[in-house]
Amino acid sequence: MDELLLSKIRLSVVAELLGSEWVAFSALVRAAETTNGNLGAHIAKLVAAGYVDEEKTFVDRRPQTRFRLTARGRDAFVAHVGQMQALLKGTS
Amino acid sequence: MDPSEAQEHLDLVDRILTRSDENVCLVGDIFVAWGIASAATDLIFQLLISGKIAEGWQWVSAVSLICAVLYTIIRVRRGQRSLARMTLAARDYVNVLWVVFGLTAVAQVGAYHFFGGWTAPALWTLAASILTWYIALSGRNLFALIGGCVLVASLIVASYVATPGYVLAGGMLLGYAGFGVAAMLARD
Repeated sequence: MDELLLSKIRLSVVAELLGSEWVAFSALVRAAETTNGNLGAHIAKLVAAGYVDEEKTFVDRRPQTRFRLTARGRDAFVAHVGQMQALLKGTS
Repeated sequence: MDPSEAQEHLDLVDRILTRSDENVCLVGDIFVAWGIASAATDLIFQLLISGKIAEGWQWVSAVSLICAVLYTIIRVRRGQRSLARMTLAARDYVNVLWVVFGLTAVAQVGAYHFFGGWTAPALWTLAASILTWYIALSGRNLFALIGGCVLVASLIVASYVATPGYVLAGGMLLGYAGFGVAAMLARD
């Protein structure tokens, strides 16, 4: 299994990004129900692994950080979910 | 990872994907603005042809369409500021919207000799019905389905009556603006 996606927060971030073109950091904080600092640390790991792309922009003169899932992140997520399903099938 | 933990993670993923799948971006008030402006245009066109109003009333139609354009620009710019997420479903919806109304505008202006007279407002009703049907099918939206049915019905009925403008106006008001009101109420 993918070590990075064993964390519930990182898994939920990737799942949130899967159905989206991009998601702002503030929306991910709300969705993951965690703090800015905690989420920032988790996303930094996903960005470093090349699972997520970070984009800094200005909206109404205020900085906004957006994230989008990369093809690598999508493949890793699909493989990870497949392995979890296989694990469950193996035990049933 | 043990099986119970795997099940918990899969449930979490399922919840998130189900939620984002339903997240189709709809701005109801823009539908209301365009529904009213289109209905006003159809109505004035019909009243003009019937000789019930003077030609000067054409300005009302032009002003209502300009108001709808300005309102759309302001609303979209405001929406972009507060937008924190662009879902794939929303991106597809915006693309379909531009294709449907862009091609309709090109057809009406570029092929004016084909789409003159009552064909022009009918063409816009058809475009509006394509969009509402798209929303109904992609977003599983019952109000959009009802709106789409009303628009198609108004198009068919309008082709058989002596005063199609009233029917097309009613269709845009009920099917398009009505759907917009329903979308606004559903969001609240």
